[in-house]
Amino acid sequence: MRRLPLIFLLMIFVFPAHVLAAPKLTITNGASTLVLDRNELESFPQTTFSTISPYFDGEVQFSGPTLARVLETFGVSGQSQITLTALNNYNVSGSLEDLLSLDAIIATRRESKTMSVRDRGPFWVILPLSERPELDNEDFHRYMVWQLSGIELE
Amino acid sequence: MTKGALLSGLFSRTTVVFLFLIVLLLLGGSFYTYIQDRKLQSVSLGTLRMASWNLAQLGTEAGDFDRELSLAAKGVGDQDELTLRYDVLWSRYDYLLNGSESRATRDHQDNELRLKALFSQLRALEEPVLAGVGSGPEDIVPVMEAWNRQKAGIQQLVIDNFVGDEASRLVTAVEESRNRLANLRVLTLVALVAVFSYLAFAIAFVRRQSRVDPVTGLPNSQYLHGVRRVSPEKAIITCEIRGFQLVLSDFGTEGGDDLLRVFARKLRKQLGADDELIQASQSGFVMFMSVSLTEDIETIAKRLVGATTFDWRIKDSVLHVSAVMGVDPQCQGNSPDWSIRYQRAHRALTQARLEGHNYCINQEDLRRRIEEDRLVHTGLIRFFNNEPGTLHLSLVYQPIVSSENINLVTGAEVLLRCRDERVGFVPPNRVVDLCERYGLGVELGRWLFRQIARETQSLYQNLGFSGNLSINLNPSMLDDHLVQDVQSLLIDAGIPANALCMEITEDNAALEFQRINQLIGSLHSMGVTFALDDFGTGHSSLEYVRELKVDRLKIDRCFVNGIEESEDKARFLASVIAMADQAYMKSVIEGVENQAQWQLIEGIGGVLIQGYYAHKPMPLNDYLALLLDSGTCYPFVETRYLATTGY
Repeated sequence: MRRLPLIFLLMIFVFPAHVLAAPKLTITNGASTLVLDRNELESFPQTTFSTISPYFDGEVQFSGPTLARVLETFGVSGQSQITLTALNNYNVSGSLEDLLSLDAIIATRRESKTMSVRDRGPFWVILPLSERPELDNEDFHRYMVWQLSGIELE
Repeated sequence: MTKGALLSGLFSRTTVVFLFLIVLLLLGGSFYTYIQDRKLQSVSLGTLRMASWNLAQLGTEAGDFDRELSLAAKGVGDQDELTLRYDVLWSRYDYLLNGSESRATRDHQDNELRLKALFSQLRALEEPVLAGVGSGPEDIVPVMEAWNRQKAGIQQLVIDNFVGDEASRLVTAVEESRNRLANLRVLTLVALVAVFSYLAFAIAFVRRQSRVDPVTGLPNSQYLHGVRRVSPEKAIITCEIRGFQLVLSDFGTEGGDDLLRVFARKLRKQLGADDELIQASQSGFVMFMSVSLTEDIETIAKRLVGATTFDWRIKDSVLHVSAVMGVDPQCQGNSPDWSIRYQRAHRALTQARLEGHNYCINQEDLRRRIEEDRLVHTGLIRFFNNEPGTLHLSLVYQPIVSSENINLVTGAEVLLRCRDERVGFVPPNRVVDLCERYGLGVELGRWLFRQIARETQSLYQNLGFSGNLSINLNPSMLDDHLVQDVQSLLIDAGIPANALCMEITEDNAALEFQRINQLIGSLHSMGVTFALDDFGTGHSSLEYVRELKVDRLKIDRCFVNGIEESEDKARFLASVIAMADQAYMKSVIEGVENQAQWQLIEGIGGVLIQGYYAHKPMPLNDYLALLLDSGTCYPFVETRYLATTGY
């Protein structure tokens, strides 16, 4: 029984090494950095909506915290540009103010299920295109970054 | 082919519809090409962009995985990172094969098949890759080999899509479509230029057409409006066909048009080559005529009148056609604006029509006459309204005596005198004409009645005078109200009915013969007598004279003139008097001016005489003085001298 805690400890140590390898979201403004995993993102108030998208036929439900809420928690002071980066290093920049006005969420779940990297998760910037049809064009589609890995404010 | 036929062909409905269809076709073609071009552009460019983007991402992600795999093969790999890159690549295939956005890429050539093959090759690596780093570098080597084959496939796919035949084919198609559009644009432009020219021509034609009268082919009022200047050397002549409305009502538009053509032809013949003839209204024409040195304007006017007076034959009837003209002659020195000259010509025409002439020339005397008419007209209105003015009407009396006794005054004719401070003396017939023309006739007549009653009523009431008062009736008075007017204005005012003698002229009486006779009858029953004035000078036949129930004939001075020199004339006068006698009409001889004439008429006897030899017209006071003169005798109420006053 004395070795039990050690096994536990080992299990805890080894197991997460494979399970917790899921990518995280890094938010930075140059000075400070915040790293969030899915659990942390899901501890924010969640927004859920179904929307059409250029990626799926018909409406698909996404849920996650709003980008605005996450950034509010991180704290925005004086930054005006935002750059969203994906796992493949694809990135898109834009005016922070503009992007905040789009009601974007950082989706963590699709149809209530978490998304793997293969499903273009774990985090996916989703805009409510069904609710706001004016956003349904290429100018805004470019903000819908999948496999979101980083948010940089400057 | 005549010009007209050519033009009508050019503007026929078929031509217009044809042109319209061509333009429509070209427009449709342009629009279609434009849409096609847009579609081609958006489809091909969109496809190209999407394909490039997705495949570039595929290339990058494959590169990332490749790097991690190489690190793993060297034993320095990170399992998490390797898995992540594998998964990212995996998701890219999944997206390319299933995403709706990437359909264009997938559908391009055999991309889908190749992607499927590559994807299955990648999935085959799943197990060794996930086992990955932990299994040792040597286990990675076969994975590397399998992966390298895939890598070559991915590179080939990217290359084929970027620079393959298809890409260049798309570019060529876009260029071709551009060329097509450019050609069509040129064609459209040419067609537009053609249509524009056609329209410009059509507008010019319509404008020209609108300035020509369709019947006579002469320039019309529209053209007249556009006239800015007329050479001062040219006379402006306006011309109006008399009674054209009558022609229209009798012979219809067709007859009217026919007459217009004939009339215009006759006018045209009188004009020179550079003279102009314009049809200003339906039956009105305007001419701009050069006046030659050999012909004065008067002669030209007469020539035009002569040429346009003719008998017009239509079907089985003959109509006498004539025109009335107004002339503004050529100007010496400063010429006023043409519109003023046109107005003058018009005024001359109006004057000619009013005065019953065939033509009137706007010369100094006409202008003066018109101005005088205006002054007199204004003066008359003021006078009748009792407003202070420069014009005054007054009465004079010309005694009528017996041929038996020059001292026996049987009565007098009341004569009108008119004087205007600006115009001077205005002849009574002109006053009457003006009053008739401007609707003042009845006012004049009634004023005359009132004034006569005012002046002479004491003569009858106090003096016991029972001689005649001859009063000239102007045409307006010859109406039903005459009876009432005579009663209220004269008889009721103290003039005995049997002293009143109404003078009418043949011409006035002949106008409405029946009605005038009825009027005469009504007044006869009141005791009023009638005289036919200016007998022998009118246009009526003796038949009228016979039927007209008048009591006296006033024989015009023209029958008296020269009787002392010509026995024929004397005899003729005598026979006229005899005729009157036979018809129970008393004769009043006018214009007896000398003793010789007096003696001759005295010899005939049994008539009344009015003339300078006996008495000139005189104011009331002189007339009174004459009657009161001891040498004068006159019919008296008590003595009933009625026999000598016409009964």
